[in-house]
Amino acid sequence: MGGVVTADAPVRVLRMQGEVDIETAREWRPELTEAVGDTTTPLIVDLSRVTFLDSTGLGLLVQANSRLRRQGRPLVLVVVPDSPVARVLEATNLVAHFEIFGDPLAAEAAARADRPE
Amino acid sequence: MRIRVAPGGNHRGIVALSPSIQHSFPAWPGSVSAARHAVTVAARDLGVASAALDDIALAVSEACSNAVMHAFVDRHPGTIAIEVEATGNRLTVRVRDDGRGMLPRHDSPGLGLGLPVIASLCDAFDVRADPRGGTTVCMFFEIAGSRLT
Repeated sequence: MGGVVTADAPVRVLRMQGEVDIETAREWRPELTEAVGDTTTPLIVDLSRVTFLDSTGLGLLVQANSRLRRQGRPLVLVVVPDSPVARVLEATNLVAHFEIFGDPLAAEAAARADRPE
Repeated sequence: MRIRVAPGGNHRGIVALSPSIQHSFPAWPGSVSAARHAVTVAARDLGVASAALDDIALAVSEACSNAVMHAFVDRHPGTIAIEVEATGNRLTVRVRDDGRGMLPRHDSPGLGLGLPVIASLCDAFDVRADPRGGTTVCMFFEIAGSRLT
């Protein structure tokens, strides 16, 4: 991964975990809102430890994605292939909506590359 | 867990017991997780293979979340009743609320993806208005390879 000038630039990684549904999604809202509001730091949402996600939980991510896109940057997600999270992203046809990586390091590189100049 | 056993019959006059598992929850956000887990346990106990359990849990979560978000907009939260039934290779999951009935909303707090997600997960489903008020979402899962009791 060496040789990249921005390799040391900070990236914020929001690691969600457990079940994210209509009840628990709201617990993540403040942290997500703060992260989205920090327009100078690329953001990754790591869903690899999320054991359940439905469309109400996804709504939180879709909202964050809309705000980030207005800032000129996409929402980068880490999603384990074939996981329940991958399944709901496919079922809702939202895979193309985000920048999704199975590997956290690849996600980090992409998030750094997407920094608005 | 209350198990209601409802007798059925076939043309040979043999009474086939078709067990139905029922749960009731207040229509609060916190109940949706409990409903998922109750249905997962019921489905597993009925012989549904692990691979199908995630899809069933997600479908139940969508149906229950819809009830929580939409059925009681103009009133106090009521009740969500869940029924799980197995016959042959088919698992039937019913999610019934005693709310205001299904009405279009321009101010929906959700993504509006609940029913399309349910459609993609189960083999068939229908949404019925209860004459007493309220809505029932009935989801059918063909469980290939499982031997449902």
